[in-house]
Amino acid sequence: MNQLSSRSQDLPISQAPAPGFADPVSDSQQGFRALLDALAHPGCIVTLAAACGRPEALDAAPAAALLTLADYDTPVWLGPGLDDAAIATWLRFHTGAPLVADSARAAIVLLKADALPDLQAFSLGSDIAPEQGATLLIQVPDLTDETAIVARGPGILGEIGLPSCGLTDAFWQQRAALNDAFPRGLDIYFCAGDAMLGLPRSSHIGMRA
Amino acid sequence: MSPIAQTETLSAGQAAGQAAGQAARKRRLALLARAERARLETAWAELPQRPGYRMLKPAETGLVMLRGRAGGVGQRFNLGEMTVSRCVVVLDDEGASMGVGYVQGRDRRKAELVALFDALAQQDHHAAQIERDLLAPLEQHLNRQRAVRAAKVAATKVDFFTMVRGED
Amino acid sequence: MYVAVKGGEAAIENAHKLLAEDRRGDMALPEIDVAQIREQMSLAVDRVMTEGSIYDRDLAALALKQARGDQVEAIFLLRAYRTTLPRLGMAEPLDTQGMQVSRRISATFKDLPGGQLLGPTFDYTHRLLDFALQAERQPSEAKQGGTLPQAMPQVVDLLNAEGLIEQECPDDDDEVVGDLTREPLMFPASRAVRLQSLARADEGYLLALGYSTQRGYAKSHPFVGEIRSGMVRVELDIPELGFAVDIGEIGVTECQMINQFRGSKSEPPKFTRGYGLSFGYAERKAMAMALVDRALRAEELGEDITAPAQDQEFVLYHGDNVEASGFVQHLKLPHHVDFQAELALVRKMRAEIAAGDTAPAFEEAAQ
Repeated sequence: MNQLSSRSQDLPISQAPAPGFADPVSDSQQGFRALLDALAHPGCIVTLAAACGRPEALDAAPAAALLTLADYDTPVWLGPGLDDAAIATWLRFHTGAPLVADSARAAIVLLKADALPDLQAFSLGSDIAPEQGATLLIQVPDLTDETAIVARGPGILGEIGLPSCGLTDAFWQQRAALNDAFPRGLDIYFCAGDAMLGLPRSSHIGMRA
Repeated sequence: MSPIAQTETLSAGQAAGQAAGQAARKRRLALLARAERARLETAWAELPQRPGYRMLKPAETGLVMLRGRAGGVGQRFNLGEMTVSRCVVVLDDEGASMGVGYVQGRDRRKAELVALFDALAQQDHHAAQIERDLLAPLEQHLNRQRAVRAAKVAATKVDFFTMVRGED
Repeated sequence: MYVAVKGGEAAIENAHKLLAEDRRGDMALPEIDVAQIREQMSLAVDRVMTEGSIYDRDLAALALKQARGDQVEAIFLLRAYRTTLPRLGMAEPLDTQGMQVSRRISATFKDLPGGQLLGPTFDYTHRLLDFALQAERQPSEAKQGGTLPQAMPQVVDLLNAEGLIEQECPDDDDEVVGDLTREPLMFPASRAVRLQSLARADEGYLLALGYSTQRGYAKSHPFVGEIRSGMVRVELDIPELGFAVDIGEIGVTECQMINQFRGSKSEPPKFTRGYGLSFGYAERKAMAMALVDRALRAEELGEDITAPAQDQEFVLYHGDNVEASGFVQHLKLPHHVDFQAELALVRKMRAEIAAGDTAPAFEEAAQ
């Protein structure tokens, strides 16, 4: 149940927020293509090309992803460090997405690598409605370091190495614990600057042998 | 809503002023939403000076879900949707007033015009003129229409009378 | 097994052209305008809006023109169109007590405050064809007389001093209101979901089900507490402003049905209620909806479920004419291969009967 009573969400937008997409239709189509590619090719870096206005604290990729994915029907939860008024107002204004206080009710979650809650806080969906599993946009420092973490599964030939994304072992363990939850699970985008890397729920996380 | 609820404390005078401003804006938007587009277009064309403006939210058409209540007063339910067009503009001049237009139907230009008049009406030097030339005549017209309709409906009221019965 | 067959393309294109020509009819006559349909076929427009589930008179009129007057086809067009539009918000619940009424009657309370207002009803017409309408003519203007009160409280509550009629209580603002356009129908369905489903349901279907409850298939013993029809304001929370604004008016028809209730172990006998609400002036639909709403409350009220109209799954799964028409009409699509298989089976069974060996093929067919 993602539906909300909209009442509590409404904040008057007295100051003009930062701009969004310059050309909403074609920019969000490009954004959607890039987001699809990222999940179709787990572990590969994809660039979100569409330029968009954004609040200061937000990188280009998660900003474009939010403008592409969020709408009136997608409750969004802003994680620690990104829950400021500038982002909230900007997001509400451009997408109409309701902001929720309860992270488990969010369809889209915006997070920062250095302030990551337990993954238990988010909806995995149910076997009847796996589409209600949350999409996580995690803003990370970079996507380039090499680790022993690998992903296997649909969209991956053999296995692919993943960067740590500046995330703790605890995060990767929690993600690995969700390997068997499929079709329930979380679809994750790691974002740095205008680059992003997708890790769908269907990817099986392990360590390089 | 803890992260973004930044409630400012208002003095009683400010609060009263805000409430009056809100009531005026509600009336204005309700009237403009009921105006014919052509009427708004003419009023816009007849303005002595038209300000420049930019679209904060370009006009778009979408749906709003309408709700009823069981028994008219009970629990809410979703009845069906309605087409709505909306637009948000900001005027270029020093006041940079933001105007919003939400109108029934698919006329995006009308939503834009409503937003423009909403923004203009926030400026003292336009407010009186908009009231006199646009809002007041609109209100009179709507009231007249309503009254005529009500009078026609009232004419269909049943006047019951009891027939004298046969028994003594 | 699916076998791809091509070759219909030119035929389909030509069928579209023929359809367009037939839709237009006799070219010697002026083409009908969408605005004319909107104004002069307004009850057809109301039905298309109610079941198409979008209030937009021009869209519904266009759909009727395109569908050559076929209402179910027009409803389908509207439903398809709505999938192209984003949702901008949820309106505040309509205040039907603040309605500017065109009609307001009660069959239970003769002397209701404000009076019985007949409005533009067919009820007292003689149902004789009016051949004068074949010629163009303007009707004489309707007579004006008196005024109406600003607000009209509900008759049912107004006259319920004794508390013999159940009260409807508002739900909590934070409660989630089920929405069939977002979540699939699940059973048992809440009253909110049932009412939404009934509002979208086929009028003929609801009429038949409602009629069945009157004829004894569910003992509901209904009275019309009140029917009102007219214009109500639509208020929408504007996120940019932080408050709700009246953004226009829509026409609706509301029916409050009052039904006898024999009482249960925990409750004394009283009257219960059924509710119907439709877009435009669609009184028959609102009445039928109210009858079926009441019938579907059987379980909640502890009544035995004995009739089709009381069976949630039966009523709600079969009421949507877009779904129903889709499934019935898909039978027109090529089933050539399926039918070949059935043909072979029937031939085999007949051959076996002819050979005096009946049992095996029938068993096979039964599987």
